[in-house]
Amino acid sequence: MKLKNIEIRDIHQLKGLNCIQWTEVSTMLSKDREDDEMELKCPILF
Amino acid sequence: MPHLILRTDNTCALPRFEAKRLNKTVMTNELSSWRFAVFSSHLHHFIPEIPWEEHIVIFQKWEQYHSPQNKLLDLTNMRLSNKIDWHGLPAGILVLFHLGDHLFWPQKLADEGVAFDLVMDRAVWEKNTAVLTALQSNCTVNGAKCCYFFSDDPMLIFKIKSSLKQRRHVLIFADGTSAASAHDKRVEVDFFAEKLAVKPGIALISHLLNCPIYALHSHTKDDILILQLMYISTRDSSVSRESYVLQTMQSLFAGLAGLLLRQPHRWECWGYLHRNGMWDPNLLYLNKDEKMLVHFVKLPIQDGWAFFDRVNYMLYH
Repeated sequence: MKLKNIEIRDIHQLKGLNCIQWTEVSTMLSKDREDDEMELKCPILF
Repeated sequence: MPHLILRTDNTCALPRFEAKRLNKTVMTNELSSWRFAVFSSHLHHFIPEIPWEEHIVIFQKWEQYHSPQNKLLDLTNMRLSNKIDWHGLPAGILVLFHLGDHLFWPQKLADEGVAFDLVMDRAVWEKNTAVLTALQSNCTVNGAKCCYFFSDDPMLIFKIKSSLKQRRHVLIFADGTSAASAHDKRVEVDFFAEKLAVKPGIALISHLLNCPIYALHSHTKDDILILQLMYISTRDSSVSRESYVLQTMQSLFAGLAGLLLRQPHRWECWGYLHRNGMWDPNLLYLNKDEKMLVHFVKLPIQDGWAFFDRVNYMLYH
């Protein structure tokens, strides 16, 4: 079952949805480095 | 096109109702970002006392505070506390945390004549060589440039020993773990409601070389950021190395927690704790029965929408 652009109004709507565990979510996120470390974003220093 | 209101200070402002509408749009966009979802999950697990509805406010403050546009962070607004005899401190390990101002203090310390060398992960150097080279040339004290040491260097302990012998401090970021590695040795310390896996190198070096650790935090007074010495740790011969390492790391992070309790937005690491080995959501006890709608954040994924459960770190689609 795939969600379209709908709101979840009742928790029972989650039934039947695919549930992805954090390991997989984390792997998915690591492919998108956009939200990676903010470290060293200090151009005002130099 | 909304009308602008001209303020007496020559800045423009949107009429209140327009600003409210726009803020709502910005907020909705942010609520649907992975960046917010992960930030909010981490914040909840460590400080569950913060109500869910406050997360977006803290997140926005966090993004603004850590952005290069943050005008509060400026060397001219930064001071070393005049209550500390910075030049009289015996050479030891200066400890900083990733609190947004962390790259400014090395230069400020050098400007004030405090000599030090800096330890970092090799990955940080490789990713940011240009910035770090510029920082290095700015951190010169009495003609001696700050040296960079890599945390994986087998000669690290000897290099630090040599720095201390020359009465130079060694600066280390206690929460500076650029990437989790299978070779990392970690100790677990209490951190708010959870535990953090932190690198014990600072305390280990202090014990091996019998040198003090100086935990440094900054606070704001009258729009000026002041660097304070919050805590000094020295080796106690009656305590085993393992106990000293654990107690010291525990104290360092207890100090950080004390600061974050008042200003949670200041810790840069909230956004990437799951990447640097400090926090593994897989080790959570999952409360699968607890499904309240307020925990869920709706997020765009490749083929539509998904709902992320910020309590159990699970994605439904």
